[in-house]
Amino acid sequence: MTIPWFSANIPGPKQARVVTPEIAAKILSKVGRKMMLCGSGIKGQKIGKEPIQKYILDLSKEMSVVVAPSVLKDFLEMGAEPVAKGVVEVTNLLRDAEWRGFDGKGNYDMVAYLGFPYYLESQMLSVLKHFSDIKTMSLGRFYQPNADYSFDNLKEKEWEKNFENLISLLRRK
Amino acid sequence: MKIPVDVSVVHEGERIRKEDMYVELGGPKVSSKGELVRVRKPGEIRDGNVEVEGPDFDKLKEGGRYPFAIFVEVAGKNVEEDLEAVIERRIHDYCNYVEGFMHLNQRYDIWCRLSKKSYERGFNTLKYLGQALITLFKAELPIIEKIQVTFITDEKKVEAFVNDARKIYEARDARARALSEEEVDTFYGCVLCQSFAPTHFCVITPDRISLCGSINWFDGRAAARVDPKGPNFAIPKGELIDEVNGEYSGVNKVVKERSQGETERFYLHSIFNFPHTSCGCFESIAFYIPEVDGVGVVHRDYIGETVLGVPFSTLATQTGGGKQVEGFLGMAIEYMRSPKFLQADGGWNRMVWLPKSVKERVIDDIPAELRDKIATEEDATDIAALKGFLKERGHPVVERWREVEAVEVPELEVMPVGAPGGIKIILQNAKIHAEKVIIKKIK
Amino acid sequence: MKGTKFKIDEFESDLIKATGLEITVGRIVEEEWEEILGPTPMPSVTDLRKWDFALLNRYKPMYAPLCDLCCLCTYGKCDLSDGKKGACGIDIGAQQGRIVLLACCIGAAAHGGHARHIVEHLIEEHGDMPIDMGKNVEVEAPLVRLIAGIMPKKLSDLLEPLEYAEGELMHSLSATHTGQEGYFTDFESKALHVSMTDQLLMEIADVAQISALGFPKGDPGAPLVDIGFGSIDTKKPVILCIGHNVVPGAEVINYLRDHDLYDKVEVAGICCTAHDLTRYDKGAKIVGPLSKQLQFVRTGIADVIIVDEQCVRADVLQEARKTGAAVIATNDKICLGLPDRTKDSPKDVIDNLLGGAPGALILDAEKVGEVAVRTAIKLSETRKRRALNVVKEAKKCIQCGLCIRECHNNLDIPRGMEKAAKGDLSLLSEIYELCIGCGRCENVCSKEIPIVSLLGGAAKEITRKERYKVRSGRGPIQDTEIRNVGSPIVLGEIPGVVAFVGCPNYAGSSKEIAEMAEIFLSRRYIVTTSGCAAMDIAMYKDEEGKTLYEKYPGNFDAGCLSNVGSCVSNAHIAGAAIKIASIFAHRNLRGNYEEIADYILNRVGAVGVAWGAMSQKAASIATGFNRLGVPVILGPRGAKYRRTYLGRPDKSEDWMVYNARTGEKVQISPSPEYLLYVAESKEEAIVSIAKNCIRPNDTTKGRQIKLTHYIDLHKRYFGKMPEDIAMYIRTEADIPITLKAEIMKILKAEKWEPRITPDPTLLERLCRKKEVK
Ligand code: SF4
Ligand code: SF4
Ligand code: SF4
Ligand code: SF4
Repeated sequence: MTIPWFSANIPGPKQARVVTPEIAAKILSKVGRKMMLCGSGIKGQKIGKEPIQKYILDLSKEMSVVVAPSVLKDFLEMGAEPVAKGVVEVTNLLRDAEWRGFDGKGNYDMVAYLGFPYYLESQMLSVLKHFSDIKTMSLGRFYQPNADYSFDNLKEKEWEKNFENLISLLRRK
Repeated sequence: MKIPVDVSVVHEGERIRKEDMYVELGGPKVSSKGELVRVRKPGEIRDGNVEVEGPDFDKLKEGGRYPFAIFVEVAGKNVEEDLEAVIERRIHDYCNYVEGFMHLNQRYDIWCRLSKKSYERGFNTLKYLGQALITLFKAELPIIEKIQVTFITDEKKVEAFVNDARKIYEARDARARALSEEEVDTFYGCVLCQSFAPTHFCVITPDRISLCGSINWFDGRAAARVDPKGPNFAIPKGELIDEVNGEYSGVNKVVKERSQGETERFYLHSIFNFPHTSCGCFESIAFYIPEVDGVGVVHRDYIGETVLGVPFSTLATQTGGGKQVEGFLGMAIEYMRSPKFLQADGGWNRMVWLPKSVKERVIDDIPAELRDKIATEEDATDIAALKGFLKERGHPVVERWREVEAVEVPELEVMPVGAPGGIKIILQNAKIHAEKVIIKKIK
Repeated sequence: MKGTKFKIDEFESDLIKATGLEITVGRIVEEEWEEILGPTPMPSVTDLRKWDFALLNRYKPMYAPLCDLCCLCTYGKCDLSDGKKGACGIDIGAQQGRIVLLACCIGAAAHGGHARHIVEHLIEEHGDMPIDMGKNVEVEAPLVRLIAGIMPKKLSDLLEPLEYAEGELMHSLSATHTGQEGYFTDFESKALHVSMTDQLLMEIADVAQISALGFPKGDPGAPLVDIGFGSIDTKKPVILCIGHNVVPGAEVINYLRDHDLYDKVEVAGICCTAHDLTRYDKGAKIVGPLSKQLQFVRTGIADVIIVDEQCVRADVLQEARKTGAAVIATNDKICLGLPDRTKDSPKDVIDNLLGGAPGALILDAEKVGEVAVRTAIKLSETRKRRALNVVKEAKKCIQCGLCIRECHNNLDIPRGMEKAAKGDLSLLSEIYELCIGCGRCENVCSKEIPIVSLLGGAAKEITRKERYKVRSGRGPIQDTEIRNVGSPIVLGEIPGVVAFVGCPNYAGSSKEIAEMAEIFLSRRYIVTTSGCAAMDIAMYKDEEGKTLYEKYPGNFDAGCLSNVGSCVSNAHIAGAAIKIASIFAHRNLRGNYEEIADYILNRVGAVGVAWGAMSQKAASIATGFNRLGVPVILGPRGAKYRRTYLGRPDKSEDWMVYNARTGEKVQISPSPEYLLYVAESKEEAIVSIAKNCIRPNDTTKGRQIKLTHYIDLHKRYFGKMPEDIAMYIRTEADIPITLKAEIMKILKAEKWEPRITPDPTLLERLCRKKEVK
């Protein structure tokens, strides 16, 4: 069994399934309404030579993207205007089955988290794990047991490759 | 023309240090400087026009200090000469909203600085400043229909301007001093403090500034003109019911409405019977001192004990929250300058104690013959000393003591509680347990 | 007077005939307080439940379990995931409420134990002194008046509310037992309740020590005192006090004063004891906040370490052993397994310590003073401070990376070691800046490298120069200061009150908190602070080399920075909010909690920020503020408290209040938006603070200035106009004049309609007219 990145962060018997980019892409492409939440940690993050924001924008063609307000500026500078809201606030909306979503079309089936402080993400995943039917996926570098699906603990370069791979798989279909 | 810097209230607190300034306009090192607002006829104004008489920023030497005048002319159906002073005070606020521009003081005393940073960002002409002023004036005071602004930096011209302006300030002040309740038919109300004290509101007349000292009759008038439904509104004064107390039918009507029925009537110039209510903002408090049958005043900044042996903060808890409390009145220090100051209670003739710093501030308004008869903390810090002081100096309240002493006090009959014959309570094998019995002194 | 009994066998008067009447009286109190007693003096656990439910209905708790399991009884462990219930029937939601309640009980108990000790001690040492909060403080103990319904005049008057709070704590804690409370809202209500008593307890502790120990009494000009490693004169013997109870440290100072030694020995403190030492004597030094504890102990600068209570590292004894410092435990809460030497002669204890005993437990503060001073003087002569060879140690690192996985902040220690091994200490020194001094990395290090010491060693050049100024804790806010700000608040000159409080468990640099404080100071908010946060605010200088305390005055006023003092001084921040209601609205405080909390929630634009909240005390402090109607924003680590209270601005039905003028229900802006929020970044917190200063009662001018700052900060940090702006505009007069055109366009597009500004309340009973229909 994979050990959480913070080794003490063992919530209980129910822990995330470790996924490869291929499986993640397969799972994501099967669900209907999906959202990706991007945290403050994406600031300055690069995939190869490109800023990660470019990949995220790419992805926004496949699913709703919500970013932490503190990184909104980066997107505005690129001419995009994604929804920006604090992760705690968004998670609070998500746990309400009646919530209509940011586009008014209803709540989401799956949410992916990326770029948050490890423990904050862990806690937000825990909210949805216990208090909603939404499936969750963690796309960060570290294994998050509270998600339904998570990448394994990865080295920086491995993770970049994984992420790039995931996006291209999602974009290809 | 887009202003190259930000214009917002958030820049209000900004100070520009000498090292950061591009130029200084006015200020202590320059003899001529000033600002003035005048009301004109609409035909006399080129709306939106900004003129610069004398060298503009780009012609001034960096680090230099120059004479400076700001002249704002306005017109509008509801803009009258009486409002000039109110509009003029806004120049200070608005100038400070401009990022990298600092404005201190008012009238012939102004002191402005432009920061290097803002100059470098393209703020190189006073026209931008004029434009900002015009936009802000129109946004906040929509009664201004037309406005033009002239800046003067030419030394001779500034000098001439200031000479003329001084005459106008003087005339204005004279008019403000002369204006009285008799002369106007409208007073103003303020309900701003209802956000914290839901049943309090202030009545503002030419003889009575608001208790916080922030809003005088002219301010009230201007605000009510701009937004009649806003927190400052007109009160038709109605009939004069009682001249001495300052009771007006129009005021009473509004008192009932605006105090949510809590209060029925106001005596505008008395601390007895139906005094004006207060929130918590009052600058000072007038309090009755029964032992000498006089009135004392203490202000918020006075540290130490009053003649009653308690500090301001203790006295202040006696009133507030829109409650009418006899013998206590929250008021502005400026009200002490009013010719109607507590006139119902004897005005200055009843005033027996006030802190020295307040006395010094209002000394010119104290009738000359009373100036040395009113005690401060240096003369008396307790009632006994106060009595002695008043007697020694021959304060007019001393007369009142004789009157009181002469009146015979009839004996009071105390009614026993539970008159005989009515009911009878029978307790049989009763057990009463009280967790706590509180004994209160009845005053 | 206590316990009186009358017996009347037969009695007849015109009014009453009684036979066999027995009257017993518990207590007779003479009282001069004329204020009418409100509905809830010393409320029981359920007396304010209705108010809690009103809050919980708008601000629904969101739970983030830290653990899916429960192991509190022998039925367990129980797995509560996937909707499973425990063997006792509890579900995961209620279980979170339970844990939160437990945390709040622990927090309240810590302050309660502290308050009990200090009140009893002070009465014993100084006699039953009068309560004196100084000039211009009319309401001496707003929380005692509000919650307990009494007006304390002397120290012993604090015993009754203290007893009350202890009782409530027992009831609240008992609800966490297996088979007691079963529903989350009721767990929350109890958490709110016990946290309310926590505020009471903090006030009792601080009022007592201010009165008896001569601390500054509401003085905005309280002295500027030294803080930072560099402020400690290491040439002198050094006594370090850690914790929260000033009594033993004060006795050290007394002993030094009495023996003319004060200029020969350094007395320094960490955590709130340090604050209170400087309040006792401005010559005491503050080392820094909790995060500096391990670091400083490791430097070996201290000769004697006195621990009292709360926030003391459990391994302080082992750590002290490494440096040869002697540890004196002084409080029943922390005995550390040490032998009790309370009854022994000071000389014996000192000899024993000098002879190599690791420490002693001395439960007599006066004796602590003597033993600590004499031991420190002797030890400093013989003890050697060992120097650490950072490079040599760093060379041991095998780059296994285990440390980084233990580090809260994911600090890249291995890379720091790699560089250090080559003689470049810069990265380790950078890491030091972000390290909260927890020591977890060391526990797992494959090579047993003393990582924390290496970080400190690498940053030595910097820390040695760390010398700042902090304003000593001033205690209460003066009534006159509150009066001063009334008119500028309604006239729209002051946008709000921001309180930076709590521990230093930061997710980023400790400088962030000073940065945040300065943003609001320069915008002329009223900024107030306490505890470790007040220390971190000091540890930052501007280009001119000034700390914020030197730059901004210590008043409770626009653009001023008031440090109220230690953790227990937080009560004065709550007290200031309460006093607004009594001063401006003349609302009765006495036993009138619900009405005052309603007043504060709807009118007082104050926000608490606990950027590095760590302890259970911080949990109860935040929850106590919440019950009083004050929103609190936590740093990202706050998510681990498991519970936030979040409003839903998108649900307009959640934002209805009564208009007390008419009795009608009316729509308000969603404000405050949260009661307890966790912000991911400082940018998010800053914008959130500005927004949560908005209140439904704002005057139009007040709303203008609040929105101006909200919008300006939003644009500055997030790059655009906030999307919810229309919700906050009631009438056109609310629109900041410099943004009129821009906002009118938005309003038009959103088909905005004007609304009235009510006299807002959640309590129907406060309405003057009932709705007629
Ligand atoms: S005290 Fe000043 S702001 Fe308050 S209601 Fe009176 S005039 Fe208005
Ligand atoms: S308290 Fe309840 S949930 Fe916890 S271990 Fe016992 S039975 Fe299980
Ligand atoms: S002591 Fe510092 S570096 Fe080590 S784990 Fe704790 S925070 Fe990280
Ligand atoms: S745990 Fe120790 S050995 Fe391993 S990388 Fe960290 S410092 Fe080096």
